[in-house]
Amino acid sequence: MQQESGNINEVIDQYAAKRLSRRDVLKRAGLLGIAASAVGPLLAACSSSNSSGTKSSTASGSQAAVGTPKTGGTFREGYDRDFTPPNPVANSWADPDYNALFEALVMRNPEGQIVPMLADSFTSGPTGWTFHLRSGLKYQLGAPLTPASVVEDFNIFRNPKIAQNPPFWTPIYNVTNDGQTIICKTKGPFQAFQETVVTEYSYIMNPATWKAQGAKYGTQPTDGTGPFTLTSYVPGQHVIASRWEDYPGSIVPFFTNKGKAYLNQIEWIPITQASQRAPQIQTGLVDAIKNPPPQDVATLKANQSLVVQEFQELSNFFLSVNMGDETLGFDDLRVRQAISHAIDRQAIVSSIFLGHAAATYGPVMTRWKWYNPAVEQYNQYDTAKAGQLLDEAGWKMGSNGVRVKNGTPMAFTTYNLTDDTQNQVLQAVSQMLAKVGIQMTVQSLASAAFYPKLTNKTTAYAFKWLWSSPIDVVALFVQFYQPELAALKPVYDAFTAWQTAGNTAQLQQAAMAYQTTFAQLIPLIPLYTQNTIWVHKQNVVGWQPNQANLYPFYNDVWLQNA
Amino acid sequence: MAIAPALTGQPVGHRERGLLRTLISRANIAWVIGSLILLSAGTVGVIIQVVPSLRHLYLNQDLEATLKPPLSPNHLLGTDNLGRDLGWQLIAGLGTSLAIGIGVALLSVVLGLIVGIFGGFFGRAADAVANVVVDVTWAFPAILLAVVLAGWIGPSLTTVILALALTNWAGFARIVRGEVLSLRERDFVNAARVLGVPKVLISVRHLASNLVPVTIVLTVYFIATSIIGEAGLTFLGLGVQPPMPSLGETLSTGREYISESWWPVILPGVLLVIIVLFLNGLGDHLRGQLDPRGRVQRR
Amino acid sequence: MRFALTRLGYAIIVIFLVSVVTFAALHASPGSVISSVLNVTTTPHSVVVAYERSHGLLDPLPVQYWHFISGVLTGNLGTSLVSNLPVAQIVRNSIWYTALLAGSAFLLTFGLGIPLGVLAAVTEGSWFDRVIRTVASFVLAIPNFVLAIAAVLILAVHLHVLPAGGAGSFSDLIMPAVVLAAEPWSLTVRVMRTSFLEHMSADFTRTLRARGVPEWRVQWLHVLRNAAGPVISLGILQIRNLLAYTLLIEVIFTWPGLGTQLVNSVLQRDYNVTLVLTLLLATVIVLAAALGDILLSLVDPRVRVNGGNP
Repeated sequence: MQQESGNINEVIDQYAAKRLSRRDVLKRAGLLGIAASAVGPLLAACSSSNSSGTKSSTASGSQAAVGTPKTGGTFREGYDRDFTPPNPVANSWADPDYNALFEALVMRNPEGQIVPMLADSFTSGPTGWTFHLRSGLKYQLGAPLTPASVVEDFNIFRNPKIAQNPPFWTPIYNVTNDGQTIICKTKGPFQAFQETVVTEYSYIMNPATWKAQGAKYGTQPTDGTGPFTLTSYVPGQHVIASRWEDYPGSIVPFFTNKGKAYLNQIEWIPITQASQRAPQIQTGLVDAIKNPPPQDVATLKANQSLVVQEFQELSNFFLSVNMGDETLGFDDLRVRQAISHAIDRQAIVSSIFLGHAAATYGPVMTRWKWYNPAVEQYNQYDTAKAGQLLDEAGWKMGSNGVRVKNGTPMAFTTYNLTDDTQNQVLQAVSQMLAKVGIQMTVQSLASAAFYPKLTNKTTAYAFKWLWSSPIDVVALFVQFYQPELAALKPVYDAFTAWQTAGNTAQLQQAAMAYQTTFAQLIPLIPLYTQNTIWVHKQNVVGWQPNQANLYPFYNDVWLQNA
Repeated sequence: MAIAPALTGQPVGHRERGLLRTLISRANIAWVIGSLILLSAGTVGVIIQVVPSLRHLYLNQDLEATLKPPLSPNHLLGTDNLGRDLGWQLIAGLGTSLAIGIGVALLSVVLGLIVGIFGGFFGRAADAVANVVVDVTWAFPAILLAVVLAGWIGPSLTTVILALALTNWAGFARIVRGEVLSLRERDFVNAARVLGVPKVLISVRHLASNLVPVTIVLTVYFIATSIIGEAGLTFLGLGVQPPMPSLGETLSTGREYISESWWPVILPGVLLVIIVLFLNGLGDHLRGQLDPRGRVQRR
Repeated sequence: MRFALTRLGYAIIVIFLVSVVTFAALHASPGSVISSVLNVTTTPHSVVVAYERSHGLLDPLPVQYWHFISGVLTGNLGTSLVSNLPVAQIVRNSIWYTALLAGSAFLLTFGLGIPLGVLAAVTEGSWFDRVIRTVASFVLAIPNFVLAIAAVLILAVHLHVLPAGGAGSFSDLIMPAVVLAAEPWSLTVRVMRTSFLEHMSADFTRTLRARGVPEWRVQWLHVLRNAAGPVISLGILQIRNLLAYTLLIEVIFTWPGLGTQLVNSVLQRDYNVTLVLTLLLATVIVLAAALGDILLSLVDPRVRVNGGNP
């Protein structure tokens, strides 16, 4: 009597426990009469671990029991991108050094709840938010952390002439302080602010220093509030932060270390070539890495001196076509839908990511706390439907395999930021589109050449955003990179509903409604969310990447061989 | 007599048997066959890229059959990371490489001839100008030019050809100039000038045609170096963009999967080596036939 | 002497022109250094403009060029637009690595190439000679980045003998240096061998032998000294190739030298760093060529007349 009779879930469980290989799963699924294409998503969901943010239960050398924390040593962390100056006001990408150099008023714990950090209590209601700042705090260069300086920070962050994230602050019309209490006034409820105030671009810095350093801010000591100070910024080589000896301590509940940091220094090392990441940790050049390529994960998991954590990343890779482009028909919903239906996301997930990713049919990652599974009825892989929609929209297949309408072939170029994996995905997508008669060429550019090309007139681009507040960031892309269109009104309205939600329940509702509206109108065509894979050596303790925040915190980190 | 050929307009030093007949002779049969094989493979590679109904041969991806080893069913040389047939990818890539190689060689040769003759034959001022242009180009790092061009017109086939040609031609110009300097003292040239034949005509008729052997030899070497150069540029992300196939791109992507599959790396590498060996050998051989005095240094 | 001076003067003009062309090319190409630091679409325009102004990017181009060139001549190499570090520091850090790599490659090339070439010549026709020649031809044919990848595949991935990248220890130097030295080594061996053979049977050696000078002295002292000439001029020609290849090899092995730095700074449009590095590379190449011409002119008077290009 075979163990696997009748229950695909048992098979998947055994796979998760590493007792079966993928091939075995597919074989047994076949015996159960289940098609491989149905098993795929189950396997993929399996690879991204459960959402509670705890370590995924892999047989990958779990951390042995350790003693008391030791002070000292330099923690070398490999990063999968190159660095940009840590500047909460105007910056193109938040890097891991933010968590060491700055702190926010409040923070998310690994379960996603808001907890105190620089503020010891906070309230939110129909007239706005208040934060009660802890007393006696200082900035790293010695100046006192006054409520007035926090007010100044907030006014900088919400100023459209200075900062880059004001759209996330719009309901707030006034920020002042009353003693130690910071008061952010709104005209109506603004629950969504909880998603903004914990992010890197709301981290607290000394505004006087920021103003004084001007364009140089982020390349020298940043005068923030975190447990480390910036001591060396050399993009392409490393970023080094050293322990702040006068750190006033932390009240964050999920930090076990409430005092100064244990580490003497942190050295972040950019490893932009993906194929170098696994070798560098295996040869001991770094103590931790982020995102080795999918094909190296198995080797790393088998290495007993390494601990591998894998969960879904707070990101989404999407393709955007300009909805104002009438020549190429992108203003027509049917054309966008056709593009979306022509893409076999599941195949990309299983072959390029080897299952270490999830197909996304809506704008947010599938394991987000407020993910709406209803989006999965849209954007499914269906080449017949894609062809049909294009025919309906007037795009007829030409003799050379490219669709034509009014003499215009459906051919366009997509810009992308250079990245090995994303390039492969776009190549695969380009072929899938060619099968339905759409000719898409890809141009991969370095950031200096890519960002200037990104405007609301760009015909097509692809991008992966990484941000812990997905509704905000997706709305930002729609706002900046699509022209303002009447057709997008449902999306704008859905965002307003999100921003004016009265309580957490309404916030969740608004988030879910936003997703379905988005999946229907597809101003951005979502493709996949990859798993983020963090690997560290056994002698690193307390380094806890979690699923609620972009990067780990450094207060608890110590080295056993310090 | 030396003057007579000048009067009759025939370039001096022309062989009794004609250039073509020298090249395609029994002694060279192996090289001729080899060149034909190379050219046909390259032509096939270009054809399958240009004819829409044939594109599927190298573009057809099969995401369920990625990285299959050589000697798999349907795929003699295996598949790459997107499930495309590696054999057809290599042939198509070879087509791209040869097209680029020939394009670069032609461009370099034309530029080199013009500047080299200009400098060698048209007086001291012209020579000074030509020298400066050549030397400035010579000292310019090719990678810089490639990145700048890639920024300008976007990385593409044209960018690669331009970047490689603009860095290559200077070396050729130097050789041409040296040759012209010695040729211009020869009797036939002086005779032509005495007779009032315009310099341009002399350049084209006599100088250029005497330079043909050198040019042929160097063109062959140039094709080899451009093929390598293109692969190198594509490797750095500055070359032809997918889906245009390229040996450099196959190599570069293959590197990511090097721990499990050696064939996307080794096979294009081996192909490159074979082509380069062949072209260098061909160049050496032609040099022996056409340039016995050894005016051409390979590098 | 006069020739040397004119030749050097000419070299300086060429270097100056390279700087102008580089400057023009960089500023003419699209993309901006700001995008390496900020997201120009979401960042307010006033911030972008302030950033540009503070870095002198709003001055007219000739003024910017003047700032650059006058700075270089007075020893102030400026600061990186991306990291605000002094360019001098960036150059110093990476120059050390490139010098180490190129130097090792050079050592390997001549340290192995000359003796092997001589040995091959001395044992002409033997199996040793044939082996050396075949290996040299074969190595010469392999493009060095193909060699690099194959070496990584075999030595790092499969045999775990050497590391695949980085610059932490001496063993990181071995593969890049060997790969870089491969092509010049094979050329050196061939040229050394040919040149040595030519001189071995020359008249003066016969005279020396007739006078009773021991054979080993004839070979290793006299012949070698004469035969080394072409090898040396080849070496100078190789400098340009070496620099070009070093760039590629550095990127493949993530060796933090000038090559990686140049590629990164060009991609980031960090004008200051790119200009200084290009100028540095061009200076090395042009001065090497000038030096070669001057040396040659001391030997061959015709060179002085012809202007130096052989």
